[in-house]
Amino acid sequence: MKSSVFLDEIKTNTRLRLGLWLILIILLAYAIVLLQQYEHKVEKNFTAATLRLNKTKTILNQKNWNELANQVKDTQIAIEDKLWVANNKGIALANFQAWINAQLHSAKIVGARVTIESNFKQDYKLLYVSAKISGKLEIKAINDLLLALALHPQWVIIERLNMQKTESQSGFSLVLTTYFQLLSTTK
Amino acid sequence: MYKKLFLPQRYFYNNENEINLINEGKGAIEVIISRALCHYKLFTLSDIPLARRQVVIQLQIKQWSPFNNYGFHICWHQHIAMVWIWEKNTLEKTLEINGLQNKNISFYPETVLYSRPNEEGIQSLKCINGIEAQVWKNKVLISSRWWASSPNTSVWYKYLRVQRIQNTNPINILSFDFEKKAWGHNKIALLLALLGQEMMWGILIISILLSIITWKVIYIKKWQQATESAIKEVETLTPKVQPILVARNEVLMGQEKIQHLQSLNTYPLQLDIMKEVTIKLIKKNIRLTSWAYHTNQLNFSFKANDLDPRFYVNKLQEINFFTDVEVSINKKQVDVSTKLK
Repeated sequence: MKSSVFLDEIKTNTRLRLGLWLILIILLAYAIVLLQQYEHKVEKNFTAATLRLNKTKTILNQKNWNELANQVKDTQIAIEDKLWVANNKGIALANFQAWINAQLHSAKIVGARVTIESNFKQDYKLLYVSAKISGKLEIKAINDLLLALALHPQWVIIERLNMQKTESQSGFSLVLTTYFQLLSTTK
Repeated sequence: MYKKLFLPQRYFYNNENEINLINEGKGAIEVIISRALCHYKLFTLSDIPLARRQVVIQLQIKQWSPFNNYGFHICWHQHIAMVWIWEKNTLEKTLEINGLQNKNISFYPETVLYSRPNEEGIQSLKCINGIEAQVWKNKVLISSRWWASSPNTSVWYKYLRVQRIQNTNPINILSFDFEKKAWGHNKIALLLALLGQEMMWGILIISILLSIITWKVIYIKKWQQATESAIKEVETLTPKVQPILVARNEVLMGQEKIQHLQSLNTYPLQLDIMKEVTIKLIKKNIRLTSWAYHTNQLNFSFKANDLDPRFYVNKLQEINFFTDVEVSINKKQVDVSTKLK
């Protein structure tokens, strides 16, 4: 009975009918809007998937990565060979101090003052060790020392070098830097 | 039992203002008004817009009706309205007496429950009360005339003449049972016509919207299929790519580390610099007095006899390591300031 009353109302009431049409049209239009949004999302997914596929195919065609990896590894080993190696920080400082003393002795530099400092660099876990050496300038002796630094297989980098030889004063100061690879995890 | 549930509960309202049950159905209640109690007229509303016809016909019926309170039944055929009216006061009292007041009742004139002829022309029907003569043209009841008893020959021919029918046959009275449904369309027909127009536009708009939705759904489905296909292909290729990716990562990380380590020692050896300076200036018999190097800044001084600064700048600029060479001379002492590349 209720449904027939409702149907009669629909048949006779133009405003009601128009309202129902409008509701239906709005619902369908809203569905289109939702589908439009979903379509954008799907398109975006497709673009991402295609990009990934193209990237994968491109990588698959690059056969020389293994060869490059070997080359890079060789280069890396060669450069890492230039770094000093020690088990820990204490050993590193002691080794460097001993090596400097030996070089000073060998170059016959007497009475030079040596100060050692260190700092741990987190990136690549390198121990930065610097030594400040100062003393009286003897040309031959300092040449021998510089030659020894240059010939050492590991890097001994001269950060500063001051030499002065005048009638009134004569002296040198040298700041050296080296990098240690620490084998143990403790600094 | 099944049939009864759906059959209308049908009553007949006769010319003596009595209501008799003629069909014991369980469906909707229908009251058939005797033709004897009805007046019939045909209205043509071809000039009236479809939306206004229902209102206009009601006004026309009101003008035509001999009763103050009346019921009516309209059958629409295109722009033609076939209208029956009957007196309602007595009918309502009778309904009340029979306990049918306040019920949802459909009223039909007796005529519309007899079958409608397929052929044009005149036909006579035996009604429950009396005789009805009908003139049909194009499925429209042009004329309807009722007599309490069968008309005599002169009355019959007079009716034929009035209706301009060339028929000399004597009256032939047909007898029918009531049909299950009334013929013709009542006001719903007009409404349906209106609705039809409205429906056409509504359905058109909705069809367009549904088409768009369908197209969108198909479009999305295709995108999804293409995406799935691409993802599957990537999944298939991934095991083959994995070792290459590992190698690539090793290369990139290795290169980064190499660059970092190389950046730790970028400047030339002090001995090499000294050697280059000595080679360039050896002919000038110079004597170094100071050497100050700090990171990439180099200052040095020497004693010399040749005091042309252009010579020293030109010579020292030939050394690859140097850039921005500046020379100043003071009392036979040459001070050089430069930067290392």
